[in-house]
Order: sequence, then structure tokens, then C-alpha cells
Amino acid sequence: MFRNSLPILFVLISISVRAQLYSGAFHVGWNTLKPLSDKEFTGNTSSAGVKVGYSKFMNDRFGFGIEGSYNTLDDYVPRSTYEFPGGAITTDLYNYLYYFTLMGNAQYYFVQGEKFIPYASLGMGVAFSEYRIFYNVYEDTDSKASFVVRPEIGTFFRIKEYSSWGFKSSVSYDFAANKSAYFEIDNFSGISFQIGVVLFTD
Amino acid sequence: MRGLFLILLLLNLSSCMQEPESAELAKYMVVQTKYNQEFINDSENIFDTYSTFVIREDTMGFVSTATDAEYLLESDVPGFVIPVVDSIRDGFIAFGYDLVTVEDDPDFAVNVVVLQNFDYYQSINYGYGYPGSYYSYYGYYYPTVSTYYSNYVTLLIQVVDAKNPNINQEYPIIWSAYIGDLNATLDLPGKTLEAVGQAFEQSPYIKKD
Repeated sequence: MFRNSLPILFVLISISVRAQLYSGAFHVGWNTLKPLSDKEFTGNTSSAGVKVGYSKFMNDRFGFGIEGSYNTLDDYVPRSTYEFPGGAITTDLYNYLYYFTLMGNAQYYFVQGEKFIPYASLGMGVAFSEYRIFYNVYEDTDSKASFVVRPEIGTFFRIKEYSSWGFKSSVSYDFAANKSAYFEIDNFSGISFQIGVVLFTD
Repeated sequence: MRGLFLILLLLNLSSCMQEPESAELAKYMVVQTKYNQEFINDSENIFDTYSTFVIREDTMGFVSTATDAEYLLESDVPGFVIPVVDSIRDGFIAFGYDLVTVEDDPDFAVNVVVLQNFDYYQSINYGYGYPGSYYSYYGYYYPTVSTYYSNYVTLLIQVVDAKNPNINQEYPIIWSAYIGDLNATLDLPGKTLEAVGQAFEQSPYIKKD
């Protein structure tokens, strides 16, 4: 039995040694964000986003990192008349949400393959949300900062075996505790899809 | 390869800082109307009591932080001044009010002013109303102005009551319509006329009983 286990043990040790060739990975990617809340303000899926981060591999299974992301969400409200005490206003509206996050995360790697490194992570940090309404040449703005949590699953993919360059794809869920009383907007939540480039570092 | 990495990053960042296109933003003018709730409320509507009005038909008032000019002639903004004043005049006539001269002691005056470089909402404050007279460009526009600069150019239409000055001889403003921005639009006469019509449409209390 011990004899039969030797090849398996050898492979595991081999993978571990090779994985330690790289101690971390920078990544930058194109981020698409689909809002799940506040759809009356910005209901459209945003492909105008970027996510940048660095992951530090502690061992084959665990790592941690930092990450920043940015997305612009927008929506158009056709010309309407809004009444208020003592008057009314007629305009069309361009609603914009500029959504920044900065967070730390902990990562679990399901396997350190020669090409694929699938992982799950949990990030927590701060979200900066700037709500802006454009109407003609006028603007109304409200900015908030709040706690954000982001569970994520994804995978790193090396171009060649143990290459220092690769790609990353991931799906994540954001919940940010921001609220805008001015625009009557509650907490923000959304699903992100990311495709990016990865540079593994020694 | 590292250069490509950087280029991708910069392209991505630059594509994120989005704002609406200026031409799209200027597609419609913003039309805001306000009425004096002291004179228009659940128990009364002073417009029901009006019969006659006066409006200056050959000029618009002009209040600017950039120039000392006090009014605009048709020759100053060809195709704008007369058509817009005509549409405002015709709007009140269509609601049943009779156009008279100031010597005929009208019930209300309609004053039309272009405001240049004032903030749209917060900078104009006449207090109770027009001091001393309900009708004129000369010496009766004393807006209290917040002094920060903006490029906004707004058309202001005001209905000033001519019958009920307070003890300080101030004539109350009954209705105001703010239309803007005149500077950003690509069709100044057309979009302004459309906005004037909208100002009347969103003010159903302007009617003769």
C-alpha cells in the first residue's frame, strides 16, 4: 500500500514545490457589474469597469490580497414632470452611480494545477459611491462611503504550464451598506463578472 | 507584453469615467415652475379672479453678471426675443385673459427676463415681490444673487400681481417659470418655445374662472 501511494505523494510534493515558484500574482481586468438593487436609479448592467489587485500565496491552499475596483452604472429616465409642493419640474434624467471599492481578501485555492488555480475568496473593505443625476447642464450629487463585503469564486489560468503570465476569470457578489437619503436609495448589491490578465511574481 | 498589460489597464480606466454626451443632455430644456401658495391653495386660486394682463412685447429683460445691458431686443438675438414673448403672450390669451396696456390698470403683469451667469435655483430671491412697481425692467430687478460663477443662461417668466401690494408697496410674485439652459441648446428658438408650452402645461391652475 505504501508502495502504491508513493507516486501520488511524489506528484503532490511536486505540485507544491512548483506552486511555490510564484509567491503572488498581480491582476487587472475588465469588470462587468449587474446591479441587483436600486434598479430604479441605475438598472442597466455596466461593462464600464475595472478591477485591480494583488494576491499573496501563503501556501498551496491559502492566500490573501488587496483589491480595488471601479464601475460606472447608468440609466436614462425619459422626460417626465415631477410635482413638488408649490410647483413642478419637467426634465429627462441621466442617473449615474460611480462605484469604487477598496478591500482586503482571504483566498482558498481548491487546487494548484499546472494551468488552473481555482479559488474562492471573501473580501471586506470600503465602498465609495457617488450618485449623480445629470439633467441638461445641471447636476445633483450625493457621495457615500460604507462597508462592503464580496464573496467571490474564480480561477487563474496560466498560458503555459507554470508560466508567469495568465488570465483570471471570476464571479463575485457585492453588498455595500451605502444609502443615499437625498436620492432615497438603499443598500447596493450586485453581481460582477471579471476577465483579466495575471502576472505571477516570485 | 508588459506594455500591453499597461495599455489594457489605461484603456480600461479611461473607459470607466463616463458622463452623458452634451448633445444628449441638451435634447430637452429643464422647465421648473413655482406658484405662490399664499395665493394659490386649496381654498383659493388668484388666477380665477384675474381678467387682464400686461406684457412688454418688444423686449426681454436681461440680468447678467457679465454686462450692464438691461434688456434684449430682437436684433440682439434674432429669431428668439419676439417669437418667445409672442408665445408667452398668446399662452395667457389662450387661457382667457385679455391683453391690455399698463394705463388700463391690469390685474397682473407678465415679466420675461433672461438671466445670465446665475445659478438656476438658489440665486434669485426677490423676497415678497417686486418693490415699488409690478412692471418694468428699469430699476425693479433687484435679485439677491449668490456670487459664484456659472455659465447658466435661464429664461425666467414671472406673473406679478398688480392689485395686492403689501404695506411696503411690494407686488407679490404669483408664478415663476425657469427654463434652461439657453446656452447649451442646439435649437434656441425651437426648444425655448417647446419649453414655454410645457411651463403652461404643468401649471393647470393658470386659468380664468
